[in-house]
Amino acid sequence: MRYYHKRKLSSRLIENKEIIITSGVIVFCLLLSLFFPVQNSAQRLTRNIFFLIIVPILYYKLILKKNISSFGLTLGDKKSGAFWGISMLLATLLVFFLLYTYTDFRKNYLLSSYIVHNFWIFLLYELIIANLFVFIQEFFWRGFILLYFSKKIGIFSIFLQFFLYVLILIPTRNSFWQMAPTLVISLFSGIIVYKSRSIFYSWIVALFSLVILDSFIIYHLK
Amino acid sequence: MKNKKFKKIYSVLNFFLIGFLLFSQAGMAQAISVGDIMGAGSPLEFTNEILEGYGIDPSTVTSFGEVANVSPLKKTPPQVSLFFTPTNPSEGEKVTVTASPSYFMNNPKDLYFTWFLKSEGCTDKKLDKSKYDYNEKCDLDNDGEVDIEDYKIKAMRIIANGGFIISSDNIYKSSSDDDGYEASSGGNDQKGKDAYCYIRDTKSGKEYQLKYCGHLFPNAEYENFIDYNGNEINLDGDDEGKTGNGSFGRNEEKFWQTDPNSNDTSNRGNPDEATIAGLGITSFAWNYQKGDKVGVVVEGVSTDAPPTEDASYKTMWAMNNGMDDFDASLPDEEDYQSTTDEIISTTIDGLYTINLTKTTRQEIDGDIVNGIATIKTTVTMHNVTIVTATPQVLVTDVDVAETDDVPNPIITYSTQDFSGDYDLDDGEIEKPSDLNKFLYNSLVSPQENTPGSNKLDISLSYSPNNPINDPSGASGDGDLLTINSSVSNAKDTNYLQYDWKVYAGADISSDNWTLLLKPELFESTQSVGLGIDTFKFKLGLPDTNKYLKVVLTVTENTGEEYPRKSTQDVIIPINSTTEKIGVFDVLATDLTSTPTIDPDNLSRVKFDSGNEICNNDDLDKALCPVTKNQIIAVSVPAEHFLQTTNPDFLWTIDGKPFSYPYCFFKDCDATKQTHVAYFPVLKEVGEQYAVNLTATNNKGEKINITRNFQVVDPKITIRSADTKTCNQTVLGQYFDINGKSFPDYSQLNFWAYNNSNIKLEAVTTGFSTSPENLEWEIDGDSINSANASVYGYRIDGAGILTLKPKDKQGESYNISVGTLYTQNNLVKKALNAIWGVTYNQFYEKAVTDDAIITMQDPPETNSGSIKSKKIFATIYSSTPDYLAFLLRIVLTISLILFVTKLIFSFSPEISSREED
Repeated sequence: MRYYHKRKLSSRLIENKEIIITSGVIVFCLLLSLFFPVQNSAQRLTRNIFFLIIVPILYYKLILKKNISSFGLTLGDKKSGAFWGISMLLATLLVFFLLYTYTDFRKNYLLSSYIVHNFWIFLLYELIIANLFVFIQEFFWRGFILLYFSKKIGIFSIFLQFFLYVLILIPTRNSFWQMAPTLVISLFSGIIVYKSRSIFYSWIVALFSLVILDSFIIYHLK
Repeated sequence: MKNKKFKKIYSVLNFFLIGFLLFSQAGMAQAISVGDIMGAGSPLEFTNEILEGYGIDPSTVTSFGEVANVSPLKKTPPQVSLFFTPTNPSEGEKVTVTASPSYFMNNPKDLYFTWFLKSEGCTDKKLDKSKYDYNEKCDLDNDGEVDIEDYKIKAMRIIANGGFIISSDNIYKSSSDDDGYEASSGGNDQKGKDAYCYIRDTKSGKEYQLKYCGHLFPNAEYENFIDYNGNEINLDGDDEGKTGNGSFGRNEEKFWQTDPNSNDTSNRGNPDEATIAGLGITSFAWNYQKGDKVGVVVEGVSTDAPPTEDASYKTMWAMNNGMDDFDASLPDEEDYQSTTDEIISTTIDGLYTINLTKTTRQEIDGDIVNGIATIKTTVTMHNVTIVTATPQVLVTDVDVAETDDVPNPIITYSTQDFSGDYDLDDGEIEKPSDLNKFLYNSLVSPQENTPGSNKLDISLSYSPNNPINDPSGASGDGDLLTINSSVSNAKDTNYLQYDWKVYAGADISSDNWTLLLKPELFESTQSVGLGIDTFKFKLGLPDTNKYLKVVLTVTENTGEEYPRKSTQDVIIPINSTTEKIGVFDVLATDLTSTPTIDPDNLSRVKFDSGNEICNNDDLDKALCPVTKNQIIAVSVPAEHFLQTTNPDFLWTIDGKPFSYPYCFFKDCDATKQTHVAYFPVLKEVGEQYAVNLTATNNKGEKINITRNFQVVDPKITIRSADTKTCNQTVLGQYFDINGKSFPDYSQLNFWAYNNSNIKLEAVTTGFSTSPENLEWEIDGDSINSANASVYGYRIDGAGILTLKPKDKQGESYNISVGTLYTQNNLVKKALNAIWGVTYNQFYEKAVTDDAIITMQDPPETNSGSIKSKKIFATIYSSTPDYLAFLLRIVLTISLILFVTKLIFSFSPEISSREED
């Protein structure tokens, strides 16, 4: 039988202040990444880089005095990474296929006509824009939120970050189908990162899955 | 009756008496005194009896004789007047002065006109006294003094020269003309007659003969004159230089600057010397310089002849001025009394010495007429007893006849000519040249000579003729009073300086006029300055002011010596009233179904006043827009015009009185006009009506008020009902003639704040309509009172449409409103029945208006925030957008980190256990 000391709420808050403050920082970063005023796409990208990458890094380095490797910027558990990476890639592609086959996904997932009709633009888009987007997603959601909370709540951190991601998609007013691939990636990448303690595997898996999805769609469009 | 009988007897007796004297011996043999027979006292009485017998009053004869005795003194002497053209010349302008002689017996062409011209730079002792400063250039006769002779030379040179240009002095070395002239005393037509020169005492009217005769001509006198040969001579007026001596040599030609080869240099039809003598020179023109003065003296013969046995008349001089002070008088009669004593013999008797003395006394008997007097000489003999020792005169025996040679007394009469023995106030006058001293006072400038030449003829007029004053002040409806001026004799209206002043008074004959300052004259135009020939202001004065006195002072400032300045005023009665003609649309009632009501109203339509119109906008107040076939009601408040005061309404439209065939409206009186009147609008678009009311209000004030109407096309316009939150877009500014600016509003585009409801109304011009008849269209949706709420809008009872604002700046509403304009059927019926408008003249017209309302953010109200924002805005606007964005994001991150660090600093360090 486990025994818990009966303590005052204030002392409990003080003891968990880092979690509280970090949660606050996460919330602020998310809100600012959504609502900080921007005028164009460049500023929007900059906003995401700053609030989803730089702020967490600075917070870790300056406030928590931690190493940035804590964001999963290491190779971690390579075996687990490889295994779970491949597994989750297949799972992701399977889900994509199911979505594409059995839902209205293919009608509502939109790709720019430039990408569809020009391979080089497609390549540029996937390697730079999509890649950057995926990296930011992996860094903040998996590297920052998941890895931080995994020490506190274990495997629930995967669902926490997934849940938060779903929450912030609401105010963005993007269509569900347009964001469906990232939702799938969010869940499966969480598993990869949780198992491997690295975001490299999930980053690669997410990028690959998106490239394959886009290629698949373009292939079928043509 | 008694007198008549007496006269008959008297006449019969006279008859017999005359017969007796004629036919009796006694009558032939001895003289019988008439007085003895008639019983009268003297011949004078006898004469008086005769005059009275013929109905003549002897005193009248006496009076006539007295007048006849002095009539020579009353005669008008020769005179001359000057006229200048122009009367107020400018510097350098050619001025012509014309002499108009009168009371000369000569024809003007035979008179001698001696002109003289004095310039401002030439001073003389006589006129300028202490200011005299010898100017060598003015001393034309080189006698060391500037005097009237120099002025004569200057004028007569100009006349004689006649524009002749002297190329060099060498032209006088030869002469081919014969232009001498011998002048005659009294004029060119008096040749061969003896000269008798007279002057006249202005006051007494007596004329005095001068001892010597002559002329007042200028002479060619010049010491050290360089003659035509180049030699220096003394040109003497008594010798060759004398004017009018019949000789006009080359030296004279040179002196007078005439053409030696022309008999008539000035082309006046006279030899040069005659021209210099002024023969027939009735006018003289020269280029005017500031300060020039000119005068003339005219020589001729008067209409009066001297008491001489020849054909001569009196030679006299007339000058335009100067002889007024001439006062001459003979010595008193007492001065001519003389008494001389001559001792004939002496006898000594003891202590006494007795002288037989002959006393001769001379005195003037009667009056001196024309210098001739009768001298009475009385010689008496008398003994003068003297005490020898003292000697003291003890007694004088008068009129003692001691000898046969000398009868006692002896009285004799003789005549003596005293002419020339008179005294003058200003020295002796013996010869005509002594009159020169009077010529100085004859000098006049064109301005001085012409009475009124300095006066500007200002005329003032004002409009309206019966100006209405509104005591409520500037915001009232007082008339705009316009006073126009014109100056008929202005040289150049651009140089007229105007100064308008306005005074107010309660009484037209009041001496207490109060000056109204410019702030009291609402909307007044400029009152002082060049060219301001019109002055306007709005009548908003206190009602104690019954009259305005507008005084205009005009100064003509073209640089003359004597700038003309005149003042004119006009008194304007003003009627103070707050009365206004109210304008209303009409409410028509159909009486067809109620034949007992107003049976005389054949139209069966009765009108009453509806809503007041043309009462909100200043422009509409000034010119009320109405539409064709509209019926308009005009009225004044009945309570201001009680019948007890007999208001006597007179409504006119375009000057013609209103008239109706029968009563068809409320407050109508079939016998006379009332405080209400109705008229139909029958003119075409663009034409105007003027409705005027003359009446007397309760205060006894006669009012005369007018409203103007203009026929327009019916129009509907969208306007904001709350201009603070929504209004027409300002396109710019336009300025009226007074420089006042007005915003130029867009008719289509509106702005609205995106935080306030938008309230719109449809304003109709020239007609009225109810909100129910309006059709709104908002972003393509048709909106009316019934369905407005369905779309989230609202239309209230006053027809005001309320919209919710759109959120974002730049979003807009597209709105239109429309209705169908047409006359009410009852109005059509009345127009047809009362004013004969045929039904085919009525029309319908759809009227619409559009508006685009664009949202915009409301302005910041916090001034501090605005200020700080301005600073940041300056930095921000000068920084590239992206850098500014980065700056913002960095600042945000810094804030997050700072706050986080701050929170951590308030709590204990993280324990290692927690880390695990």
